[in-house]
Amino acid sequence: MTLMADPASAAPRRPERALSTGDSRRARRGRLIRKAVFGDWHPLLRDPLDLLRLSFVAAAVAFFFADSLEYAVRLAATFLVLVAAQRLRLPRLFDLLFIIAMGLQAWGNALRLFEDIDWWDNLVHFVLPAASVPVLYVLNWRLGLLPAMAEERQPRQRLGLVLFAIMNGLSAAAGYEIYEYVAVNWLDADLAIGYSDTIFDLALGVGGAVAGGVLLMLWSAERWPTGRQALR
Amino acid sequence: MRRVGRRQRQQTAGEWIVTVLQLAFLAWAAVEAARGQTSDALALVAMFAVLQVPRLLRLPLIFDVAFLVAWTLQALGDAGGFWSRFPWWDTLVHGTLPAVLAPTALLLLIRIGVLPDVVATRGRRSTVGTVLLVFLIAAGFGTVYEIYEWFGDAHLGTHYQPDNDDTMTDTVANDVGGLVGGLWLAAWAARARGPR
Repeated sequence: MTLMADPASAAPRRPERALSTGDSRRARRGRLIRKAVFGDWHPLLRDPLDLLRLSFVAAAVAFFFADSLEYAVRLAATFLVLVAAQRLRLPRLFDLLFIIAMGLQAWGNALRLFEDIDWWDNLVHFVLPAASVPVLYVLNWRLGLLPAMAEERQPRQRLGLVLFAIMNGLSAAAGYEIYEYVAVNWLDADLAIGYSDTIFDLALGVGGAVAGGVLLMLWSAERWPTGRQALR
Repeated sequence: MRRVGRRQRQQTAGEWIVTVLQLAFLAWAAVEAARGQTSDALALVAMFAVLQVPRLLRLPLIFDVAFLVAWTLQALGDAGGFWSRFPWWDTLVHGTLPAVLAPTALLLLIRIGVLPDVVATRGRRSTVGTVLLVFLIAAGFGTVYEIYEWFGDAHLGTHYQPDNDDTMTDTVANDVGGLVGGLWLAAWAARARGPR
């Protein structure tokens, strides 16, 4: 029995052991890839999103040495905003969207894409409010002013979420128009503004804010966490 | 938890004075109708209806007074011709209306359970939340209103906005009004809650 049992039990054990070693290797590789893509590497440099953030300060330094002080300052300011967003410990998707939106704005200025591509301005006026809305929600949650999204269980509470998001986006869009107006009239900025342009930008801001609100609503419906979670 | 902003209905002298002043809008509407100014008369009747909102929501008397002040400014602009007489009147109204309407809207949204009750809760965070939410409501609605004014001028034959300068002045006035309204509501709520 023992003799028979041994080879019988040893035979299947070998591939089992091999399988489990392969599994663990695969799992380890999977974990490494997940860690490489999603972090957390280090508290100060967590993931590729932080590398993207750093690219703004690198670009600012490059523009500074290329004697483009204005763009250097703009990119440095964008970097500071993105660092502030990092401190909020946003969910990764919100963080990525915000970095992309700020990148569209900052690189649009630095590479003169607003002037060269007709629809660039419209794109930024839609994407920036859409990406800012989740960030502002998390900011308010971190400040203790609003509940976590997963706690919003009733449909009318989710409606409130969307409403809040839209109001935030609209206010941001209005604030941006005021900034453009001040920049053109008092700071001699080279921006094309006018009545129709202002209104069209505001309408795009409304659309972007609604998109951000819908994203928040879906997030809340899935009961996904309001803050960034550590990888398991 | 006691709801801040729900008043006990009492027939005080203040209530009577407010009622008389509200009825003055109807009297004014009758005068305008007699003068053949039908649109002004209709606007004044509509304003009289809006003035009933604080009572319908059972808000304290101070809200009736604030509504009266804000809508009187609007009525003077519409029926009294103050828009053209004073160039700054439009800015004044664009600042005053959100300062009154946005706090009322926040209380309404809290009551129907759409927004968390930041007004009834004590503490600095609730105060900041109150100011922020009122500001956001005012600024958000003000933005939509500017789009409506453009749409009216472009497609409905109205003449609300002469140029972009006016739009930007209105937008800033809306934002400032929202901020003032938020501070007012936070201060009023702190007083209404009383000492700890």
